[in-house]
Amino acid sequence: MKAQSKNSMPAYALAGVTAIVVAVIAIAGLNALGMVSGTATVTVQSSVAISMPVNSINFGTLYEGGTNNTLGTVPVPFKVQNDGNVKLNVTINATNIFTSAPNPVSNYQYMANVSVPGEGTCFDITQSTTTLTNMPASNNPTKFLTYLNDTNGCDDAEIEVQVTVPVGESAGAKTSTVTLIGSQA
Amino acid sequence: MKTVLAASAILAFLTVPILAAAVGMSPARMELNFQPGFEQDYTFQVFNNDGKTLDIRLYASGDLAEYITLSQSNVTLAIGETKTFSFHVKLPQSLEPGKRDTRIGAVEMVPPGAAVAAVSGVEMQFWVYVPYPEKYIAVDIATINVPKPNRTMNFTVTLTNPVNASIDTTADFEIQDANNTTLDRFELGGAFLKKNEFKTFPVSWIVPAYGDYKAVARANYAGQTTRKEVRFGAAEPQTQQPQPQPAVQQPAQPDMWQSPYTYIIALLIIAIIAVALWPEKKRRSTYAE
Repeated sequence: MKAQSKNSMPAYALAGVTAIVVAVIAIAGLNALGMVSGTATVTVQSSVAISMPVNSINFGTLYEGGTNNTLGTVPVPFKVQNDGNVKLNVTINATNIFTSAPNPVSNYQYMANVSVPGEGTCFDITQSTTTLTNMPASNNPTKFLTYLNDTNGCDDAEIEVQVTVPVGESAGAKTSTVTLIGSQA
Repeated sequence: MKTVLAASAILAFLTVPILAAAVGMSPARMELNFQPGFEQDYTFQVFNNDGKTLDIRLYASGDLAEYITLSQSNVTLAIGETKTFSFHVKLPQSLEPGKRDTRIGAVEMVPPGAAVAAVSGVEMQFWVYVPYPEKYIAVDIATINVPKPNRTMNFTVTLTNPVNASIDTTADFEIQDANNTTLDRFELGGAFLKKNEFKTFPVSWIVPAYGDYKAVARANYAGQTTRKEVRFGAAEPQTQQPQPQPAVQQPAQPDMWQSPYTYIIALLIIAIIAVALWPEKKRRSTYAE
């Protein structure tokens, strides 16, 4: 069946940011120069965009039971920035870093944090995950950052990561890919 | 001048370029009122607003993903490039009432290497509003903790009345195995819910063994049933492969101190600084000798 969309003018325009430019309107639509004037509407399409000014963390060499995290100054935490024109909610998930301890597990944790040095608090702390929490599995994206601002000058947040090597973990290089997905809040 | 050149060389070793990856989509959201059998193509744009070429995977996920066909699933975007894509929607004759949230996503492909690396992506929301019948109870299941064998798994079942009519309802809850065989059944009790009222029922169940399971909750009211199911699994940990290396973790970046050039350059800097700081009078007298 081929039905006509109720929104032949796509309804998504409603989600856009609308700026109205109003011309000077004289009596009966004529201004002092006798020219017709009116109202022009400019619709700015909404867009979601995020970038990661810091997108890798190197924890160096650790031994069984050893812990390292980004809560100090080194290594530097991930940083995420809202480059779109709507507020964002952001989800997180990651592939396992340890063979013996699949996600979610206390050996691999994350939390949202205010960017330091940076732009101040640019997201809703009360509805975001701001204490160390077990990293979700790769098939379970979990919202952790709420209402990340789109205002230039205050549109970023840090993602702290902590790893603790499980006792009995095999030796070798350990890797994990963290995926952050932003969508309109 | 030599000092400046040597210092620059050291800085070049220390500075690891980190390229910010950025991907965007427009529009951020599309909304549609449900019509049985509705079918249409929609377009959207994906852009790369950062300093490197991006390999991007496009996908559909969420409530109505099975009714969406994307024009393509992989794309490479050059620096600053914007491309337009489309997806085809073909809705069924009926859907569960309420807001059906579906996402069209664009996410960076995972680059090789790196210790703990992050990739970013964005999702456009495609919301379809399905009207409620005269009487309706929405059912939701939340899992509170991670399933592990011989441990208690906690759930909450929430019944919500989104319509104007007040409704008398009962609820039940089942755990099924991968073959849809019922392992346990719980009568949760009843509730009288006015518009926008909800009631939450806690449920605890001991996971018997590793495996795949399904939690099913039902609300029974006015001769109707609303059903919700959630799949979950108690995954067996992977076995370890013994390896001879002593280190548990290795740095992903090359260690500059392993390079002999680092030491040579450092010695050069020290020598230049020493010469620069040596008192001029003493240097002259040393040369005079």
